[in-house]
Amino acid sequence: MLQVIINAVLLGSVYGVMSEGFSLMWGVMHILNLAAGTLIVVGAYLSYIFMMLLPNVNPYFTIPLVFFISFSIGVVIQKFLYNKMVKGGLRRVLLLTFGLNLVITDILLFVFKANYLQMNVNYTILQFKGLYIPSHRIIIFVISWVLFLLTFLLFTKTKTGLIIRATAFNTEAAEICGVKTARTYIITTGIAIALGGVAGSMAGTIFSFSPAEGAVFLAKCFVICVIGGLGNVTGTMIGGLIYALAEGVGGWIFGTQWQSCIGFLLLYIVLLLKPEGILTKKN
Amino acid sequence: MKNVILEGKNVSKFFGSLKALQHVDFQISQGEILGLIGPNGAGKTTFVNVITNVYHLEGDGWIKFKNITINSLPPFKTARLGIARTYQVIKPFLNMTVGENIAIGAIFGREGTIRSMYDVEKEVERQINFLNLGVTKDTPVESLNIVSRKKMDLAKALAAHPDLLIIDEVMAGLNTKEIDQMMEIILKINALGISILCIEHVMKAIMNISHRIMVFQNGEKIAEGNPTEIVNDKNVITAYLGSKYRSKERKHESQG
Amino acid sequence: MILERRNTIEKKRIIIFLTLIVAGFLLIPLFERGYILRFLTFMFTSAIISQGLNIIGGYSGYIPFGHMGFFGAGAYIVAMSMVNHVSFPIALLFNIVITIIIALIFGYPLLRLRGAYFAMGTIAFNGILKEVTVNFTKWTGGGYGISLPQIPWNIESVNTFFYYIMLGWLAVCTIVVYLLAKNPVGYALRAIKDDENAAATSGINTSKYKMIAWITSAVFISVSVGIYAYWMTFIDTSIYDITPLIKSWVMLLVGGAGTVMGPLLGAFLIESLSELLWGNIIIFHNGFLGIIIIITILFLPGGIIDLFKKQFKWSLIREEIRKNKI
Repeated sequence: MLQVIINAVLLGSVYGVMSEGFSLMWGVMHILNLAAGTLIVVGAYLSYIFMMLLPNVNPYFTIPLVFFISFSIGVVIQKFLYNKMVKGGLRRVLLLTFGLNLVITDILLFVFKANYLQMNVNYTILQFKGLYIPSHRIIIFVISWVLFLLTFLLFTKTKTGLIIRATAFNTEAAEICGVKTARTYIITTGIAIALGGVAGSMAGTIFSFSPAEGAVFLAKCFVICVIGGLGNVTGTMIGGLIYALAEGVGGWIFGTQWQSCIGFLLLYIVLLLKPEGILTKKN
Repeated sequence: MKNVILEGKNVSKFFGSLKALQHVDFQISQGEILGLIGPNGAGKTTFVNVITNVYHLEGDGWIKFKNITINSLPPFKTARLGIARTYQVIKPFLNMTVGENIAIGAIFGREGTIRSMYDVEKEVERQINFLNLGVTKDTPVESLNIVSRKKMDLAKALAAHPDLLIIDEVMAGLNTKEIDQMMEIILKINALGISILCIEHVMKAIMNISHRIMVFQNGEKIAEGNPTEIVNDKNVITAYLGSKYRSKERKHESQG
Repeated sequence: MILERRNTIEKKRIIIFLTLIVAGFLLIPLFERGYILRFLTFMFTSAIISQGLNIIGGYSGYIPFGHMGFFGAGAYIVAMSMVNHVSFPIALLFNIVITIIIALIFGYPLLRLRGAYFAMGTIAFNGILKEVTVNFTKWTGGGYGISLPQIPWNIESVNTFFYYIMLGWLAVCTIVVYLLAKNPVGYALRAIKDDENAAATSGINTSKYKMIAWITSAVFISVSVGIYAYWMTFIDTSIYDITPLIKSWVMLLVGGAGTVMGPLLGAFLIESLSELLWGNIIIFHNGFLGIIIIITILFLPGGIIDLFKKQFKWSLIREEIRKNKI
């Protein structure tokens, strides 16, 4: 049981980072990015490519590369696609992101075929009082929380973060102060996709992935964000933890084939009780 | 003694620590025009929202419409019982035409007043003429100017055959001629027998059309009476112009 | 009030036009009993699903990404009934009743959610139904699926049979949507889509009308998929996949969401396009659909019927596009 909990805590960190992007895009721009899941998988594939191309380089070094490329992808998507529809209403944006998701998934399918891949990273299994912990999961845990901390600091201490928060809070007021909303949105999406992409590369060492897995990641993102509060940076991270725990403990009690059902039930229950997120304060 | 159409006791509404409405008692008689005035933030729109059940009141107060307790009903119910309202910030259904907007008022208005879609069409035409909207029913709402939008909002409310019409700051943004027009319209509506609760800032208008006036400040009712009484009420003067002015006034009085 | 906007001469022309088309469809089986009939039957099925989505998504604006749950309900209820020697008409009746029950149970909590939450909530709905189907293998055949009894006629008669049944159900569904649109329900749904709060204060019982839309949509879809299941004589849990739903969504968007004829037009165009292009190219199906969605949303959000309504005035359309940008 303790093993299950430890696993969940380590896994929850990646889940949290993975969902931050989704949460951010919703909180700042009210965009429910249905392509988020697939873009996470793109991160995994990018890492995979780098590992194939540079086999002698430490795989963890691919992370900054993936960050940079994912950021650029986010910028392009927002600038040329999403910004054209942001004011058109939630429904239209939703369908737009849906369409994009289909396109990206099919591109991945075309390039990489539908096989499941998994990246192998050298790791040792640490043993501690009967618990088995693979070392790479600890490294990932640390990286995830560092990323979270950086994101948190970005939003609370830097000027860019302030601008993004201001735009999220009151777009018109921010514009009067000279903030260019379009540009702010572009930066936000860049960060969002970057976080997702990096989470994807890390997750790729734990899970096997394929182009279709995007949907699974998307579903998890949504549940986690609903738990933690869409747009809430800290909440989402904790939401990831809670979700991982629910998955792990639930699977342990009921059996792993019910795991996805548990995920759905959790979503259902949370939506029924408190759609704005368990961890947000109702304002 | 006239019939009371809407009355409430101990009406309160809090938003966290903000006391939007505090223990308001009120009465509107059938066929009268009751004006509601007060500084910004006094709770006037909250009051209307509580009557129409957009918010529910708190505590043990109650509101009765035609002797039916309404304060715990869902918002659509109050409309079906015969209360219609217009909005301070007009929220028409932008993706529909003028005719369709008014039709919604007619279809979902007071229960039992519409029997068929044919009746609805007739009602739409009737309201467009009554209010002199000057546009055809197929005109998209988006093309209307502000005066026409306000009139359409009224048309939609009237199409619902209300017994009580609540008008929320309809004069805002109108010029003098338009204000006169609107005053005439309100009197015309009242002449049909519809009771009116009118929230307004434009003093000339409200003073001239209301039978009685209530004054709110900080969520409380601070005065009530006919227009002349209100203008001379000390509390009202303080509320609007400040206590300094009131003491100046006293000084003025004492100096003859 | 859509027809009312045009004068009587135009109305007569439209009615004649539609009658000719319907007559045409009714007469086709006299000349052709093979591939084309099957293609058209499939097109009718997609059109019905589009109409279903039209009611809940196009008219009331609640977009369900998990509506496939009702595909599964329809297919499995009919399949399980017929495997137990229930006749086809009775199986469809069971289907309608049970679908209504399922719709009520899930609709009640789901319809309290708004926008994106609703969309995701329906995914949970679909997930739950799918998992239940997969795990209760004794009744549902689990991952192996169910084989339905075959009709002991020759292939041409079978084709014709299903052609007329599907066409009939499509006609019923379209007529229902037409009636809905002209009557208070249609007005209520459109008001809800436009501004749900304003609708409520205008006297519209939003919960009731949303539920009506949800249940109607569910019944349209589950019956059509039930018929489809009997036609295919085999179903399995792949019925819960989102791909056919995507296609129907595209049809709805391209044709015109929130219109009576939109889904039909969209189904015709997309299905024909499908056959021509992708009969040969197997890959990139969804990708192309995705591109069509993107282009439609960006440049023609109201669909093709909207183009007709605006009488092909491109300036009006450009106006709409401009309003959406930042």
